[in-house]
Amino acid sequence: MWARFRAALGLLSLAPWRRAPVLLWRRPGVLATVAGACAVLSASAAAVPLFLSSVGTEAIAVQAAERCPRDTGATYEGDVSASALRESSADPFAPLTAQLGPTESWALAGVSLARPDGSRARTMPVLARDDFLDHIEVLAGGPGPGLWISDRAAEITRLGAGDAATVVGGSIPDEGFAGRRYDRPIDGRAELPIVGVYRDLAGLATDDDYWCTHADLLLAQSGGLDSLPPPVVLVDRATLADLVDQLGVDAVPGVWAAPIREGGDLTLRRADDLVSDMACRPDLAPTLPWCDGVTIAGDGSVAQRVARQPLPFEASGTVVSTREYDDTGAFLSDVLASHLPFVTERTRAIRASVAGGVVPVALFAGLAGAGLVGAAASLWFDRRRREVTLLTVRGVSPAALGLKAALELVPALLAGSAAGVGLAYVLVRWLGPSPVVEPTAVAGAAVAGVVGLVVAAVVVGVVVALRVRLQPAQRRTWRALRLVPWEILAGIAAAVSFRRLGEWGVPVARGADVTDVDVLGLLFPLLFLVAAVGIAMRLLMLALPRVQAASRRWPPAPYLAVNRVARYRAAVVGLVAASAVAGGVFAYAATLNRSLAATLDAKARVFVGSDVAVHLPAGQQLPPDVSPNVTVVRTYANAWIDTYEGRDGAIVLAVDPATFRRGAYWDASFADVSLDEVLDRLATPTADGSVPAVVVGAAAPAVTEAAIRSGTTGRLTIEQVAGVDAFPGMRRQTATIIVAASALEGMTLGRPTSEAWMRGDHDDVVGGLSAAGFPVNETREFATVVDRASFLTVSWTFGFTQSLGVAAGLLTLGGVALYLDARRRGRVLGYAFARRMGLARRTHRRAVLVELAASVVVGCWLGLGVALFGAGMAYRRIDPVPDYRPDPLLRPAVGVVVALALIAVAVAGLAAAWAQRRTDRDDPVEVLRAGV
Amino acid sequence: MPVSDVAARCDGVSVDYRTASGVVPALRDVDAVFPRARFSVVAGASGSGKSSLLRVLAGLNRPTAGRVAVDGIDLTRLRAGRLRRLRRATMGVVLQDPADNLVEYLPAVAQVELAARLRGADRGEATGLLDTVGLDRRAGCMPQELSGGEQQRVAFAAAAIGDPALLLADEPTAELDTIAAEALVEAMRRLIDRGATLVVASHDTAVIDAADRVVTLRDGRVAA
Repeated sequence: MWARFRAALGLLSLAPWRRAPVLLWRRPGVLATVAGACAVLSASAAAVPLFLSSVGTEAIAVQAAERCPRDTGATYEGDVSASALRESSADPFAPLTAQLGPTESWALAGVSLARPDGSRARTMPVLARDDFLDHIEVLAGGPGPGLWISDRAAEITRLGAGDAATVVGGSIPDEGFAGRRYDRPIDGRAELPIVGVYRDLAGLATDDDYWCTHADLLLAQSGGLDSLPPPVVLVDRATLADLVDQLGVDAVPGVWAAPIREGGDLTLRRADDLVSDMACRPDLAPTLPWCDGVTIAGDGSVAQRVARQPLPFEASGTVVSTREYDDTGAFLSDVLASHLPFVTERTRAIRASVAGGVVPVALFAGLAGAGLVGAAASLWFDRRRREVTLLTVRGVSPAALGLKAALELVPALLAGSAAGVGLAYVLVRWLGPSPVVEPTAVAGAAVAGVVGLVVAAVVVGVVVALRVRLQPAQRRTWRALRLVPWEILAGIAAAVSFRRLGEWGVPVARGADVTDVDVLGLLFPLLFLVAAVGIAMRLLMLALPRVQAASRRWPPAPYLAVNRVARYRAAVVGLVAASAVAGGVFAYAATLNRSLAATLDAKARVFVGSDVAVHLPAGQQLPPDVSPNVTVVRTYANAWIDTYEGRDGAIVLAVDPATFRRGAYWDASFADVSLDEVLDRLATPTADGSVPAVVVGAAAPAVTEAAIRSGTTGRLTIEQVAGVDAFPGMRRQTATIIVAASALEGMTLGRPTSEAWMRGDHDDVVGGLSAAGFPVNETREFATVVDRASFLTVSWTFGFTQSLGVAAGLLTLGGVALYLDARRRGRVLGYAFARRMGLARRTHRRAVLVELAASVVVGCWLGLGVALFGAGMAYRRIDPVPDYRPDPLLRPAVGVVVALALIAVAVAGLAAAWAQRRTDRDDPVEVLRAGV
Repeated sequence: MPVSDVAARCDGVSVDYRTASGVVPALRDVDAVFPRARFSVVAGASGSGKSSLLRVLAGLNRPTAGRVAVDGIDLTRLRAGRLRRLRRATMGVVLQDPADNLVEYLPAVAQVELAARLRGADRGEATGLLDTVGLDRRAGCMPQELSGGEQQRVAFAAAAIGDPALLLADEPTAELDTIAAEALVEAMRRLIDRGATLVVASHDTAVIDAADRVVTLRDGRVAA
């Protein structure tokens, strides 16, 4: 062993090994090829930690965007006395100002507001919050101590700015037995002036960062669509302190809330740190008010809280309860209102789900890169064959020659590895879900780059050693391998994968958990592509001898091209496969991503009915000029249909055929006939007097009878006039009957709910309605259907899958360069010979173009076709929200497909031009002498 | 001939090559003996199997049938690693193209020293061997500064260092002019005088005339 080690060391001191790293400077082509191949390999490995970090950051950002800013920060609740209200109490989040802030605080009480004579008393919440005047529309009055009531409250109480209001008792939210909330009644009486009237906020879109934290005060209650919440009385701190004093209340509930400072740039690690900080990190604990009585375990992960809060009916100080927490998140959720622990836990689940998909994809891309490195090592062998042969006949082992190759290629491998890591970093920042990645992910990428470097060096060594060892007699084995019908195995694997794709569905979030991406299902396009390309290549190989024979009668350019393809069929097959995978994976992932987005969008719009659906209170008209694309739909919810199986609940939508097309969402895939045709049929009375209708939904049999119940029961005899798969406004699990509103005229039916459906940008429409003073009460919203975080898990996974397409694309480019370089000698000599026989330069250039087109263009186009076919097979099996209609839609990524098809043509054209130029410049005598 | 006088021998050696058009026989049942410290030439027309016989003797190809022995060791029974070590220790090989025999970035003396170190021989002999082949004044020259004949002489010096049992050369004069070929033959003779055993494949009459023994091949068989 020692002798072998000494021999190896001795070998390294010999010139061919000692000087190896500087021997290739005069062969930049080989260096560049190896560096490029190593870059693909390293980029595949390095992209994984970077991409997952980017996913983590974006997952947090997406979840934060779905919530009020304070929800992903922290909210601390406590009682506030009148004096504390006047003196602006201490900010509990002050020790965390680097991570949280600015802190907002408010206090809340419920009062019964009445006219001075005690009449028209109405219970209303009183909210004291700083800067509220900047976030309301003032209708009357101005700054000053006193109450601000909404125009709705003014209408109810007949009070206005300058009037004095009487508060006759009320209630204060409190915590009772076992932490249950209840309203503690208060009996005092107070007199306060009304200083202003503002436009009522009830039903306002709570997207506004300031008011979204008070959604519970502003949104409609469960009493029905017409039941707006009580109007909110707004006051400043001093006024609330006066009110508290006059009512004789010790304290009112107060809230301090602070959003996270970093917004969309918060990485998972930083979020974890923030959770740890808030959960009484030892150095911060003494300064955080909620950490009083908390002990931290030695590992810092378990908090123990000693609660010394006597229950209301118990003697003070008699109860000492102790609770232990499994983790900091649980502790934090118990003492602070913060979604951050949930968000971080869910982010981890999303990241793990995405990792389940991207790691195998990266492995595939890495294998492709390793294959390219192997091909580049083979090129090195060809270029250094003279010295390798000399050392071989002098008894140098294949392993030693493999080591020499690796040493000679060290500069290229180093440069390629660094470039790969850099490429992954730039691509992830540019194309990844978020441009923000954690420093630890960058370190992980660097380590992955080093691993890629080592793997590339090993591949180089092994390939060179194998080529040194390979004896002519062994070729029989390889020839035998060609007869194995491996594409059938790939086809079987694709069929299994297709089956799994149907079983998999897509990742669905359940709480913080997200189901994993099924790797076998994810790999369907790749397996399908490999099988299809394999079969195509098998057929091509079988047809090639006949094509070759037929080409004798063809013009010189195709004749030359066909014979060259036949001569180098293995290389051509490799290029076709690489091009097909590059184009195919890209087109498949782009098509499915586009289809997923379109499907989700369609499901949300079908559920809502349009872009925006707002409740239309009885007798109220929509403000004019808000949107020209409006239709009014009446909904009869208490309906049923009789089927052979029994009676099923249903809803009836009464639409206006004249305006429905303008205001409702529609996609041509919903029905075999156009919407205009459907509406025409609905509007045309039938001969027998039955109501023309369309029935869709979970139980949508061919019914002829429906009933609407509300007080009295009205029966409809309906005739289904069109077969429709999905219709705007349809419900999830309930049959929906669509009729023309005019068909119900004259019938004694219950009171329907009216909605206005409007097309247009959601924020613009809602903003316009709010600005016009219309109480916006959205009956259904996109968020009900769209769980962006779990949907994006699929989208991101497919996005990363496209990196396999990038790797295959680079593989193709490298393969074209290798193919042209490896064939340089034969091409130059053949061209010189053919020129003497009268072959025109233009003809030769055409021959090279046909030769390259037969590999790159045919491969890419084949891949695109197979990908679109595969996407057509797969899209129905990838339903982001199966509970909602319509079924998945197919949206081919036409732009990507056309671009890739043109890029393939451009690559073939440019490569042919480059090859011809180089052939023109090369001197056949010099080529012969150099032996390249 | 006593066994101790035989450097290498072939008994019933056949070699087939597999090509796209089928199996091509290169050697057919060849019996040949190459005496120690003698200059043997394998002669024959192009395609007669000279290079194949030399490759089999060097252990670079395994025969399809038959037995090949060098220094009494049956090469056909050796594994690849053992065969490689045997070739390194007991054989020197000179290829046809002068440029194929030299490392392009080393001067002449370093070429011989590299061969010595690979064989585990004394590097100090390098200068003496270059003197033997008449190149002591060209020791510092790079390959591209040497003529084809000089390159082949350096190759012979490198192949001969460490006194291998067998020196094999495939058409060493094929790419040389007459004067260079004569100088090379002279250098080979001096190596024989030092005790080397040379087996050279050639159809050059100058080489054949200088040989102690000639084995003539015709269509892969030893001519009568």
